[in-house]
Amino acid sequence: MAFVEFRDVTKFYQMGGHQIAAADGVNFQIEKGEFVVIVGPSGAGKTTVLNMLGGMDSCSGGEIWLDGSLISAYSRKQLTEYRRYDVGFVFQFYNLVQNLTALENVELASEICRDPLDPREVLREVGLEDRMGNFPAQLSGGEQQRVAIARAIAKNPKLLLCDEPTGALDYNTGKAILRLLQDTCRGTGRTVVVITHNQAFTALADRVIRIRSGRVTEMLTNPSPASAESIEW
Amino acid sequence: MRIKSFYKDIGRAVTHSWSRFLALLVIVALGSGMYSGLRATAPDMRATADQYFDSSRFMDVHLVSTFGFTQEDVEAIRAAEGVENVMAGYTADVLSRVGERDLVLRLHSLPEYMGEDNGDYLNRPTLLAGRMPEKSGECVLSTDSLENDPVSLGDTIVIEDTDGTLEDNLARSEFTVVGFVESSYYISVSLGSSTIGSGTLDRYMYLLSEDFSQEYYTDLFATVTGAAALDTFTQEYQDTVDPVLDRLEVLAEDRAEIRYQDIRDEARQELDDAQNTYDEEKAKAEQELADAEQELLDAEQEVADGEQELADSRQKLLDAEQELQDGREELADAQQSYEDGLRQLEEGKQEYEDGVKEIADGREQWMDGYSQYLTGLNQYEYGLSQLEMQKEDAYAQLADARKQLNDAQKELNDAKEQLEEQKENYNLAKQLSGVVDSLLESKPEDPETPEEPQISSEEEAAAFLQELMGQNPADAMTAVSGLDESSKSYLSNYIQTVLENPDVPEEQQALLRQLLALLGGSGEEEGGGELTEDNVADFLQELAGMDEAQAAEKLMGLSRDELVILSDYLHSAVDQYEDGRAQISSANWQLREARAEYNRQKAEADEQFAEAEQELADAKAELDDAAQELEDSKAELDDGEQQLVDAKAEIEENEQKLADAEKELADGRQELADAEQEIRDGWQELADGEADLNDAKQELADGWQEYEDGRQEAEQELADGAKELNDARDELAKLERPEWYVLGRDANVGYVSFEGDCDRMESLSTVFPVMFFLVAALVALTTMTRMVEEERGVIGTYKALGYGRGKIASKYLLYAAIPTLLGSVCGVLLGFQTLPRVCWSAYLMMYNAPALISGFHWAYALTGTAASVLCTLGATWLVCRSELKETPAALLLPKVPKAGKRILLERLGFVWKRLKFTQKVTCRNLFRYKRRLFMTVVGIAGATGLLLTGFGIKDSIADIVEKQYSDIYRYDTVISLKDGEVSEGLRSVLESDAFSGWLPVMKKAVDIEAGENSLSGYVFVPQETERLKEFVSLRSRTTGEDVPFGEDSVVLTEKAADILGVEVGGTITLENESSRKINLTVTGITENYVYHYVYIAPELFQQEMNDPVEITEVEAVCVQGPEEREATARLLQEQEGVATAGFTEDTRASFDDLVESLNVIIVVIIFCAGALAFVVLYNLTNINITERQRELATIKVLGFFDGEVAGYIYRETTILSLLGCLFGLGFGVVLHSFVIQTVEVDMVMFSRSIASLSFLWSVLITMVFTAVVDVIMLPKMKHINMVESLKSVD
Repeated sequence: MAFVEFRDVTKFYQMGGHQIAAADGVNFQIEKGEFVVIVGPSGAGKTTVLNMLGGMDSCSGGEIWLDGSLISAYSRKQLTEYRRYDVGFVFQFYNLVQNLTALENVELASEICRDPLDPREVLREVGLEDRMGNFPAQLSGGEQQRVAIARAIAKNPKLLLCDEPTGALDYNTGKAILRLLQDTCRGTGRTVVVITHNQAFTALADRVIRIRSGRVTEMLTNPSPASAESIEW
Repeated sequence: MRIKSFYKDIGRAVTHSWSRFLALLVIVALGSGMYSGLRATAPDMRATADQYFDSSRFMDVHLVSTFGFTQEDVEAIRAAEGVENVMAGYTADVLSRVGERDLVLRLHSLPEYMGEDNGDYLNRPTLLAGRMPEKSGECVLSTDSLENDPVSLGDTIVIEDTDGTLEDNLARSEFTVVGFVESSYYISVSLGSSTIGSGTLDRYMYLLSEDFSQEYYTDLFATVTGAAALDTFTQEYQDTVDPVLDRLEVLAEDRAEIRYQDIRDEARQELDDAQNTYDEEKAKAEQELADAEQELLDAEQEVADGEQELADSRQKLLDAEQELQDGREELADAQQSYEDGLRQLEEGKQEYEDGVKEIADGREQWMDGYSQYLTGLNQYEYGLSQLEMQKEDAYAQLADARKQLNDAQKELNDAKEQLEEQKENYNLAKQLSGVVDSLLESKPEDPETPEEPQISSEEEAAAFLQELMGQNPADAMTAVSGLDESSKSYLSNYIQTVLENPDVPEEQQALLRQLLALLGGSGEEEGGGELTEDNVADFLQELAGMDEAQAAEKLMGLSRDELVILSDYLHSAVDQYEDGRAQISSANWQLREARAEYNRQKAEADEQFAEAEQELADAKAELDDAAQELEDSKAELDDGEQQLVDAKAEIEENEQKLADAEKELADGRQELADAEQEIRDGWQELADGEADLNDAKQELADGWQEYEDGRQEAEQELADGAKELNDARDELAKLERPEWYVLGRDANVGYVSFEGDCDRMESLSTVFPVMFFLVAALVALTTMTRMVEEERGVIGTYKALGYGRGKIASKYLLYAAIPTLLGSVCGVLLGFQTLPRVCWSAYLMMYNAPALISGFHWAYALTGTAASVLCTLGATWLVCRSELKETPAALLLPKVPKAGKRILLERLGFVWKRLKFTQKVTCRNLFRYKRRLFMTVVGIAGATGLLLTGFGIKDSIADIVEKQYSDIYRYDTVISLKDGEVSEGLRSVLESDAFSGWLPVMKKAVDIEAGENSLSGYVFVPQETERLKEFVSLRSRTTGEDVPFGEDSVVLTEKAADILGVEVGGTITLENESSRKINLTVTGITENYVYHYVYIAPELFQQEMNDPVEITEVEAVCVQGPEEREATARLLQEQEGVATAGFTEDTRASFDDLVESLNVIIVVIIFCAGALAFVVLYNLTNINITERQRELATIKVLGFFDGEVAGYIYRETTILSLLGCLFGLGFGVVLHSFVIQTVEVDMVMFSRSIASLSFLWSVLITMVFTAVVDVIMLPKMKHINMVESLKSVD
């Protein structure tokens, strides 16, 4: 069995009497240590997939497996534990706690984990060793995203999920963040899943999953992913 | 169109944020409701009371007189200007046993006509059950404030006649309860005091006036024209009534004077009449008594006479009986002697017979005797002749013999004479021969001389003497003379001792004496001439002529030879003499023999003859006797015969006599029987007489008893009469002028306390709502700030679209105005309806009044609403103004998140490092949202403060009961005295086991002044300075130290000192009885809660005030349980000189009721405070959650558990709540003291302290509300959608 596996996963939302299928039988597998890009247009259901994979939402049908565990059958509490110990999130809008410094934001995550990395070390790794004591308001967008990535990595998760991590960033900063993510994947052997609408990112991925209208339209493996610097959009 | 969208947007804003909208609405409703409701309470209460007073025709004026009122008085009052209606009635306080208690009841009369249209029917009771009394003996009773009334309809109330004055007041004593009422006259549950029983009025009762027997009306009630239309608690009412009261005061004096004259005249008239009656009655009674006494005395005399008579007849009877007895005895004796006589007669007869026979025998014997006599006489004469012959022969022989004898005698006598002549020589010779022999032996015939015996001891002397005695005297002499000198002395001594012994025979004595003499004079030599055988006789003659000594000498001088011659001569002389003597002796002997023979023969002959003669004489005598005897017998026989003849005659005579005696005896017997019968009859008569006499005596005794009783009764009656007269006279002398009291409504206990409660309620209502408005404003501010901040983009958009600032602001103002107005309206409506009712229901525990009439008070409604609007819209405007200043461009950009900031605490590294991460976050968050912090703290503080105030008020008031009546007043019994003296009866009750101590005191109402301030209080002077502290504790409230009380102390109570502005050492001014103002220096200030007192030492009081200490009260400490106290109170009440007696626990109980009623108010306060806390916390938490939704979503995504997420927020809330509590406690203390001072009446000082438990409760309740809000907000937090909140900034 693959490290991550979606089997006929469906997700329906009730919208004023209509049932809308955000995911309509999604099937894919991800191997451990892969850099995966899930790509699709807005509203295709990629965020739904990410939410379900990240344990923030439950599926209406099908099975989601991660590392041999059936996530889709988890209770609310189990899901919380799953988020707590196994998954690291990076959001489009960083979602840092404004009232905490960079270091404290990282600590916020690391303090609740079983086997966290040293927050200072992680921040150094993401190149923010000089800004650790700053509040988010005092950091630029890229720096904030780095803090967010550091916060996710510091938990030492099995899976790193990134939802449009460059969406709120300028081109260069976005590239740097991608680089950071790719390096994290390569350097630590962590499985990284990036969700984006940007087709250009597919070149970086070991595996590309294309989603449209709640279904996986294509799943490719890329034997020679490009480096982050080389891609353009 | 444009406007429509704008308003639609406003509408949507509301519908999309219900919780915010509602929070605003509720807080506004709370504020305005609290304000309007509390403000409305007092006016509603007053209006209700006024309505109640008007509808029950509550009097405006109440007149009481010490002498009651006459019909003329009533008419005079009725005629007074301004008086509309007058009701005259009777009142009486009585005791009755209801259930298990002795109750003090006040009875009121009802007018005859109780129709609605009777304008003079005032103070109408409100019938609650049953019907009004219709006939005599029916009554209506006040409802019992207790749930289980022991009296029910149809029961009978029995009035107790404790002091015998019931008849003066009531026509009957039993009443059937036909209905239950309440009366505006007794609006307060505590009905007031009474002068009887326990001193506290328990219930009241209405009767028909015909059931009263009082002579005069006791009470007049009147209404004042136009007063009913006015509100009774207003100044207008007072202004309308006061002039009438003044006029009535004037009228009262006139009427009182008239009444006084009437009473005095009447009393005098009555007294005179009574005196006359008394005198007449007295005279009459005395006359009657005298008559009765005379009668009794007469009867007594009669009885005495009768008694005497009876005694006489008794004596007579006894005499007769004695006589009878004597007669009987006599008769018996007579009978006896008769019988004896009879027997004697028989014997006499027998004797006579015997006599006759004897005489015959006697004569025969006599004949025999006479013949014997003759024979004897012959024999005698023969014997006599024989004897004479024999006698002559014998006597002749005897005479011969005698002659011979006498011759022999003659011869003998001659011989004797010869011998006698030789005797002297013989003696000498004998003597000398001894001496000479011894001399011879001592003369040494041969050389050998016998060895001289040596005597050297008594024994030897005795032996020697013995030897001597054995020898003849001469030898003895010789032996003695041979002794040497010492032996001689021993011997002589011994002889002397022997001589002293009387047993020694005389011969020996003589010898011994000679020996002695020899021993004394031995050794002497006899001189003389030569002795020869011839001259021996001469020599001896010579010797005989010499004395012994010479003779001895002479002898000694003789030679041996001479001696031998002498000796021989001597021996021969001796021998011669001795032979002669022997011859004479034998001759003598023969003669004596012959004479004896003669004498014997003669005696024999004499005897024989004498005997014979005697025999003859005897025979002769016998014969003579016999002859005599015979002669006598003959005479006797003759006598006997004569006697027999006499006896016979006698016997015949006696027989006759006996027959007579028999007859006499029979007569005697008959007589005795008759006498006995007579005596018996006599006794019977006597017994009858005695019985009669006893009856008479009994009658007499009864008569006396009756007389005595009558007399005593009469005397008692007379004495009573006299006493009554004197009493009446005294009374008349002491007759006081009737005094009228003109009282307004403010003299009615219930009215006054109700008015006070209304005033206090009003004061309270001004304080509390402020708090709510403040919090409402804060809540509005926070809420609107949040809203405006949330709508930043919208504002920017509006601005960009070209809306003006005012227009845009109006959206938010409108948004705020809608819940504010709605809330105000709801609040006001609810407030008007609920709060007055809740308070009223609390007050109904203390007052008997109808349901509350809650009005709508525009003024309060509008001011409440206005205040709310001002608060919320003001806050909203403040928020909008700052936001609207910004440019549209800036507004369209998302607001830069508020930067995190380091807080002060982080600088304290050692503390900060210790904190856990989550705690650090909490700390930083707390200070990040300062406005929220402020709002929360103020809101919570308000709530806690209110709670604390509520509890504190209860503490303060509950405390003073405990403190005043347990700590400060150590006594629990108050007995007020009528005449300033502790009577004996009272003293004995106070000294009994029921009390552990008592202290007479003077307690008088005075005006105390200091500078410009003055107040009414009591001057309290104990009889004994040092004992005051046993009954009242004097101490400082703040320090708890004792306030000293000595002979010159003036101690003022705390509140009085406060009001007067006096401190220790300051001066207060009192007025004494002669209206002189006296300055006193305060020496101490003491804790006190109820009333004002100046404690003054009696010594100082007398000295400074110049007034005597006049005892008005006795304070005592009762040790009995509650069940015995009622009896004790009654006992005290019954004692002489006691005006009222009661226990402080009654006052205490009424205070406890007050505290109980406060509980309801406190529940209201707690409810409001809770609502406040809830609204504030809810709003805060709500804002907190929505504002930080992204943050919460983020940490949820990071894997925080629900509990951790909740804790993330609630930790802050809790800390803020605690902070709020802390401030709230401080605020509460301030608010409490403010409220207490506002609520406090002048007479009372509430305790300033709040119990520590109240602090705890306030905090606890606040925290419970916090917890409740937390729990309510939990789902909201749980349902934060992670996915949605992560998407964008807004």
